[in-house]
Amino acid sequence: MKILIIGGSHAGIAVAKKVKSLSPKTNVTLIEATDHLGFISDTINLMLQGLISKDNIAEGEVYTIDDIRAAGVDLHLNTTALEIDYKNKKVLIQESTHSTEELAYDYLVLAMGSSSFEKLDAIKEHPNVNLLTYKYPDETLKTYEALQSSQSIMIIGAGLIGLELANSFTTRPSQTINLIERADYPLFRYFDKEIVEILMRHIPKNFHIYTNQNFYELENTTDDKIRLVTWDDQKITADTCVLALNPKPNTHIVEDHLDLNPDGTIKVNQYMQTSDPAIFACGDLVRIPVIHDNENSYLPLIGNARKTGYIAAYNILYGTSKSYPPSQRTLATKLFDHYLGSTGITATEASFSGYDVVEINKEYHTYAKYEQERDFHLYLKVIFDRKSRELLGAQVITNDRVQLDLINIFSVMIYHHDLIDQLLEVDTFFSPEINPTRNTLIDIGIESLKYHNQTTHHDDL
Amino acid sequence: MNLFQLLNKNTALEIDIVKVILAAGPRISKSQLRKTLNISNFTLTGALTHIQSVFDEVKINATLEIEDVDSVTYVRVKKEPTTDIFDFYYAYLADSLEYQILRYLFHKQSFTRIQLIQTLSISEGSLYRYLNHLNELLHEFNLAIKNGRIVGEELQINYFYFELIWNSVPTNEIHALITNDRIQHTVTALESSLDTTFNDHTKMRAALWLLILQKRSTIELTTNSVSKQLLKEITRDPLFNQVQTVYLRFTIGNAQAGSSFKSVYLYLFLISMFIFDTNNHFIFKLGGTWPTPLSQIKHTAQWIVEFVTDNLNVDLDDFPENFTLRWYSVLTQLLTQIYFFQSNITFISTDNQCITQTKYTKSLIEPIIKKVLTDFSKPTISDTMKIYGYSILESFIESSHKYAKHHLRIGIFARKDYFSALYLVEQFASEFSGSFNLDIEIATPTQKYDLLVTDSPLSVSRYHFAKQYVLAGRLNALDREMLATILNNIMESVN
Ligand SMILES: Cc1cc2nc3c(=O)[nH]c(=O)nc-3n(C[C@H](O)[C@H](O)[C@H](O)COP(=O)(O)OP(=O)(O)OC[C@H]3O[C@@H](n4cnc5c(N)ncnc54)[C@H](O)[C@@H]3O)c2cc1C
Repeated sequence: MKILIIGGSHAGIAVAKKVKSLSPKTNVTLIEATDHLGFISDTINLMLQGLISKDNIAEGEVYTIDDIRAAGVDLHLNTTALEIDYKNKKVLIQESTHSTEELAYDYLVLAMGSSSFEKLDAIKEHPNVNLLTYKYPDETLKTYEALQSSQSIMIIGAGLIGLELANSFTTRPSQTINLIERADYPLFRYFDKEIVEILMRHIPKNFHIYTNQNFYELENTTDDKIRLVTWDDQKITADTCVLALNPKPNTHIVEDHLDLNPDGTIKVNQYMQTSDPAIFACGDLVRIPVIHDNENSYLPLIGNARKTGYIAAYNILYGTSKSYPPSQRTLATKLFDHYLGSTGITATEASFSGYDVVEINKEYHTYAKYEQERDFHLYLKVIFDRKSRELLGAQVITNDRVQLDLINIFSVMIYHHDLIDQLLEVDTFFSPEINPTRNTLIDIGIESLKYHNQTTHHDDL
Repeated sequence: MNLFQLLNKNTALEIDIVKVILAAGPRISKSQLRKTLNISNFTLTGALTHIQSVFDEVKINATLEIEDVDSVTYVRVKKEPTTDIFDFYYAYLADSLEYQILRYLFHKQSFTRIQLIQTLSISEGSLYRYLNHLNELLHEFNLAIKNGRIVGEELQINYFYFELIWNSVPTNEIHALITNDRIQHTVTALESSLDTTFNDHTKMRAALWLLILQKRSTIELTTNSVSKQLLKEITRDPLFNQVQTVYLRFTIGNAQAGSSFKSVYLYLFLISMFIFDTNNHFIFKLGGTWPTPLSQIKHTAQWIVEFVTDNLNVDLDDFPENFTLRWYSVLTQLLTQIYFFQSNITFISTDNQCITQTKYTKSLIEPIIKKVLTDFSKPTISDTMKIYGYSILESFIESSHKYAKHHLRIGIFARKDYFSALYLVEQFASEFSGSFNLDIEIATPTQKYDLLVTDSPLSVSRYHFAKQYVLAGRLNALDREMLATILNNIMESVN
């Protein structure tokens, strides 16, 4: 059997490796348009923070050519898939400037990811304004250099990408950072407002965050700056402007043949199979099911790219039998010296999924009375369904790295559809030298009992 | 656009046949039917057979019955009280190839010629003809089908699809289109964010609009009908931020959040499309006399109210609060609709769309429409929008009459007896009170009347009146027409 994979990044490599480890004899060919293998787009932040130098940008890649070849994958770098002949199951490819050739497949895996920044409205509508983007190494270098030399920076989008970029400037008080966001608060996709409000108390003085802002114009000023004019006529000027947005999925080679969702992603079933049974798709090309959300969602994250890749590989090898397990949407980040983590759905979002939720918000500060130097701050929010008492989500903000791991515990519980009451049933270790004196999980479990309306057998006495 | 324009001659005729039969009451003779529609017996018989087969096909619980009574052949439509005859019309529409092209476009958002030719089993030539005709019809929406897509302003395209589905798809099918949980929960979120409850009809409309916004969420916005000035005003409305927040949550799972203008489109829809949801004055709760942040709309609406109240001699303060609330909301919605949304779609054959205003009301509406068009720099208004706008303005003018300072005093004198007079008073009131502000009573010699209506020209000398009208029995059609003219003339001279 011949499996052909287009796109050699996180998703494509995950497919190749999984197929090869499950079935070494299967013939796997991986086509990658560039000479990079699984670049981490967050690398720019490591560079700005001085952790990776610009000459060693390849340190931002997860895999090496040797890794992939050692796994027995037929790897073609600098090779682009141009066209697909669905009827005869062939892909027309071209390596660099060489002439084109055809590769046959039994199964084709699409893992072309997302990099179509040029299709973003802001870029299309302002062709003469230099709007910076980054995802792959080349753009990352260019954007990095422009940011290094800018006194004032405008970042459009205050989601994870935008805030993580902004965060890299925390120790650079001479640079001014303006973040522009159209939602009513930053990070609204993963966090409820009160968590973000805590974070906002810690943003540096050289930061300005504009929320509820849409813009109609971006223009070059005579002194070589970029000016943004908002719908309510505010003008914000900066040396450089970065679009901290997700690029659009790269679907142009398949869009006439495969069914697409209205948002431009490729329609797949729970097995990552497209409307053409011989073709699977994964990574940034597809939407995935999310636990407690009644609709699939687009969650462009490396972890999801890999997971979709594994599922596609499994179903190609063994027949469509393994469904994609709904994502708990677990993630964490570090911003302004605080760790933020989220799993499941937010309280605001829960209402969009038709839940009536109970929210428990708790703060914790101390390990032990005799050890005040270890005091920390932890704000934990847990939500559950009022009627079924099933856990729906949890969010934390803390300055203690250890506390962040609570999110992984909640993630597992959400995966298993646990009830909030089960917080009181699981064993967790306790040692006064390691744990805070109050066990947060049990504490939340007990708090949740307030919302229990089961009558006791003494109630009628 | 009238959906009847999408039907071919034969099907349009069959719908007309059913309409004429239904309008005629329980039954109509075949010869009368032929005469009314000016068709041959052969055509009629063929059409009747086909109508029956469509009735059976769409299972709408209706049958055509043909019966001979005294050697006259009658036709009747027998139906259950719950039968929705519109399902029958929808079935005809569903058969129309031009309609199928529009539905295909709605569903897929684009087509290639080959796809359409195969899907609809038609020739290249027919496709060309159909597309040409559709483009003629789409012209009033400022839209066209080009290269397999609908092109024009994005807001207009969204609106056209909305009107198309709303007016051409049976309610249960619309329900099926919008069952998506995310859409349903978003409607609920809109209600709670705006602190209001939509009625079922409004819920369905809002859901359909969301569905369309979602369907076209990745479409590039090349042109935009919302100017910078308007954006500024819209952004300042706190309601807009709330709507935008809901919209962003609605699209949270999308690979592309789409243009910010989509939240403006949702907002514009909310402030203009709920005319018939009488509970919804939600914008008022957020303050302001005029339920719109758009100064242009406010300005024109204000002008209309002043124009009408001046002409009817009404003091604005005499309007009860509820009345003002309701009508300010309706007028701003109507104007916002005319301003932003071009034309609309109906599915009624033109003969049913008679405009019923009295001459006086009409004399007020025409300058209003003219003013609206100049204020909004629009050259014309489409026929369907005109009918819609006229009916709303008419209703505003006529309900304002009630609060007019000047009432026309009408005396009724019946020679025969008190009861005939009383009967005439009632008949007169039900006929004219909607359009004129009238005090009607049985005439007494001490009162002065603007008009005395009698059933006899004799023995009226003891009454005081400016004008007199003599009836020949009960009020008939001719009387009605003449009396309306007289009342109009009196109104004009008074105001
Ligand atoms: C600025 C930014 C920061 C991010 N930070 C994080 C983060 O911190 N953590 C996280 O988990 N996620 C992050 N992400 C998301 C993450 O980068 C993506 O989810 C991930 O890269 C998806 O992997 P993929 O394999 O699906 O696609 P991609 O990484 O987009 O890779 C697709 C590959 O396909 C190749 N390709 C495309 N078309 C062809 C063709 N026709 N022929 C041959 N090859 C082709 C491309 O060259 C590319 O190498 C970030 C994204 C951005 C934009």
